[in-house]
Amino acid sequence: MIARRAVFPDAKVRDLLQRFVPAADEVGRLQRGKDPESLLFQKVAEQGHYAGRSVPTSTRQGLYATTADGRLLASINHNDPTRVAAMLEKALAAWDALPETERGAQAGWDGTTQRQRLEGRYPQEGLVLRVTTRDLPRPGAAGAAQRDGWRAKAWNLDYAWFRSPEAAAFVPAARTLGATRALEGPTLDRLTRVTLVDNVRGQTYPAPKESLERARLTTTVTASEGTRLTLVLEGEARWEQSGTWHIGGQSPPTPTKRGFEGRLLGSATWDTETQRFVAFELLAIGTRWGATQYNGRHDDLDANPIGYLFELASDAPHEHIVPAGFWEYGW
Amino acid sequence: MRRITAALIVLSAWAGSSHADESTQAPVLTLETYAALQAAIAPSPSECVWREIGWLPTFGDAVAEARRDGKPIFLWAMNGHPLACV
Repeated sequence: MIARRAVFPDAKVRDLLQRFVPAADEVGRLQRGKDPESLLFQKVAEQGHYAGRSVPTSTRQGLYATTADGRLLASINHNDPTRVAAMLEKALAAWDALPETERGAQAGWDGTTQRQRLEGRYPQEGLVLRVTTRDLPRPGAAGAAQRDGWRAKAWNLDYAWFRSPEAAAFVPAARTLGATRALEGPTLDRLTRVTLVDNVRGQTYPAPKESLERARLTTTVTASEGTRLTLVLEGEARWEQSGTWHIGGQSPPTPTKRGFEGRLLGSATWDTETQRFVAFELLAIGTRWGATQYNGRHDDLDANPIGYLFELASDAPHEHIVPAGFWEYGW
Repeated sequence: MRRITAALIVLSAWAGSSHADESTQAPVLTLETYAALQAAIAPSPSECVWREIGWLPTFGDAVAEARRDGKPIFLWAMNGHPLACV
């Protein structure tokens, strides 16, 4: 998360990256998988900064420069842009020294065959929402403490996917002004307990089904012009889960509760001809509490304000990212 | 950034005023508060600079493009997808 604000805005890093094909990926699957893509990553990583490491963890997180067939050019795991720029320069020097025939353009896996990726389930004809999560200001002394350090700047991203029938389930059957529809089933589930979780400072888990105490989202037709229907979305959600988590990262397991309670409000425009949303914006504002192992809340367990912004995602490659709670989708 | 800062100031005032839900101290979401809350959550342009790099979303995509274009690959690999929820 720190690299987003510390490394990639750096002018020298960005200039050096012009000579590379830049990609980002989730490391867990790559470092454990047995498919060609994972095996190629493992070949790269085992030449890099964490090669052979198993203590304190076996993670292979980091920044890697490589040829297409897995010859490591340089690697590092650091958030200092000066050090990252030096790593990129080292990689380019190694690349420039390689004969054309050893740059991997023809050797090894081609990047497309035998792919085992959930990205293949991207709902091209459905609805893809980008979800931004951020803490909201706190009053009094808590507010002053919140404004110190990186916590004040923390925010995170996720995505929510809906197939075409699920997207259509937002729209009232009648197209008349005032017509309403109450969302239910997987669509409502996905918007609430799967997505309204506390990932502001780091990733966490979807809330389990049994933790959902209240969930409601109603859409109402407020305008109709040609093929465009304007909808207002309004609702609420509350979930709470009791559990035992290593809330300080590697700390002993601690029994605690986590949860969210809040309201939802937004608007969207549905095109009846294409059967797709052409505009969509929804806010969820409320309170979160508790912590899990990796979401950085070990020192912030009390109930405090949080906000979520759901917006239409673009179709750009960098927005084709599998939702963090995808395994709850049942697809 | 100025837009968000202004909204946060407004929200700070709300959080300690009658607009706040006393049980949770969260701002209350209404049509009147919507715009300021939206602005407080939405990332500013300066916060999104890292997304402007032409990232491909998978290692495999980069392998295919690197082979086609004759370039080296730069891979950012993290727990959680670096372009989304980390």
